[in-house]
Amino acid sequence: MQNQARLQLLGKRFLHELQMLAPLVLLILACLIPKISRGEKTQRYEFFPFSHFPMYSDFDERDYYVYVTDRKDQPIATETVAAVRSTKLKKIFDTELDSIQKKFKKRKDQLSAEQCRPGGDYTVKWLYENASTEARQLFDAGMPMRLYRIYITEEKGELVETPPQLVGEWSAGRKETVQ
Amino acid sequence: MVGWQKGDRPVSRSASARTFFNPTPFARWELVVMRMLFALVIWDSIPEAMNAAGVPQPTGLALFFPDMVIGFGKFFGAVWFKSAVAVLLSVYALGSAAVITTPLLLMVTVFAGTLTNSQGAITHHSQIVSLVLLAQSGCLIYDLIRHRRWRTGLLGQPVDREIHVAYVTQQAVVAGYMVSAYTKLKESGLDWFVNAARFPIQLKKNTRMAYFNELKEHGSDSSFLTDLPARTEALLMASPNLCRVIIGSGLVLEIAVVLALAGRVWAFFFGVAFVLFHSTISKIMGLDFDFNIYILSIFFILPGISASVVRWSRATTKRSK
Repeated sequence: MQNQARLQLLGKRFLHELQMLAPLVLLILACLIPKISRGEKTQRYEFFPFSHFPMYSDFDERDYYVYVTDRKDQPIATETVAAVRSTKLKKIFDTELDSIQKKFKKRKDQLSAEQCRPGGDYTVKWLYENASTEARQLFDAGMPMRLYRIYITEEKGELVETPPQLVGEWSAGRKETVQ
Repeated sequence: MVGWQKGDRPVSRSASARTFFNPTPFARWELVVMRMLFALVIWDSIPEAMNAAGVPQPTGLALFFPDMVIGFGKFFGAVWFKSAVAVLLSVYALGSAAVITTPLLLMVTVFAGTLTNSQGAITHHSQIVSLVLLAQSGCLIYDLIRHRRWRTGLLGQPVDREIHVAYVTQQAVVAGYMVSAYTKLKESGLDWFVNAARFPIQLKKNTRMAYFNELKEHGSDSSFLTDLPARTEALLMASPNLCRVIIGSGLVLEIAVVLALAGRVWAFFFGVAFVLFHSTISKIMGLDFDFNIYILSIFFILPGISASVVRWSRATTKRSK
């Protein structure tokens, strides 16, 4: 009898805990379920405000960053000029690479600079088209705008950067590169 | 200690007496402070203007209603829209008609976030604010339907409901961290801890990208922070195990974060730990965790501080008598 009473109490407590944490369980499921977005890999699990929060879920042996320059290859401070951080440009470029890598059936880091060009061209074009009138005037003065990529990797206990690769170029009025 | 208010009904005392997860019995003044501070956070998370002309990589609601999302984005720069949001937030901060104001604020933040994330660059910067508003809206609507307190439910805000709202707010934050932990372990398994030694690559990448934002080295504004990213990078490169411990501690916190729902002390501990972790990462990598830090401070750290202050002031009063 005592054991039965104990079990009943345990059961009641368990149900109580479950009831208390029901919103937590629902929110976790809601964050993990959205695999319905039609976008590429980086978009698939995103359904704002739900996300599977993939930041730093994997540490690759190499990673890259991008930056924008004018025709003289002088870097442009994109946040100062157009309120766009280089992290955002990298994400846009990376999303484009998702579809390019499918086409060539290669990993992103195996794609040549030439193969990346449609993604890079689109990224620079996006930056221009989403900029304010003042920012566009500054960009216009330095056309064509270019996108460079640099890989960082570890070699013999030191971080090494590869030489900049031209992965995108665009000027206002120019036709887009076909993917 | 702050205690239950008259008429509270969050959990039956007999059932909750020896259970681990229960809503913290916040005092009314604590709930008012938390609500007002969170209203400021919501205001801060709403963009001043949105220039996006399209949704090239639609996500979320933009998959089904792209034109509506783009059209809503145009409102953010309008004075009438800002005024309407300010009124809505003021009513929310006062605690009136929460079951109406909270879902409306959720809608505003979701449209802004969806439009931002549909440009091909996903950001999780303000996602936590919308997740919290979603949890609060769900709780308020559920409570209204379940208890059918239409008059008080629509306009008033009983303490017991606010206590539940605060608890689901904490659960929304915890859910975000638990999902993040799950994703890390699913993507990399326990190798994640081993590979965490490669973190300096990410550090260098972020400091280089931060440089190209303004063509200025990150951390150069303050003498204390000068070269902090470079010094951290050198230290972590020299000691891979130290790197694993520091970065790994973040995942350990994320795995154990459910304990933060077990009361003020646990919430305070995890709140402080996460704020320290976010602040450190933010300083060395130039990443922005503002909204996480604000929400953790309001709903996890503040309750711990307020309870200590109340206890201390009561002890002082007793001694002086």
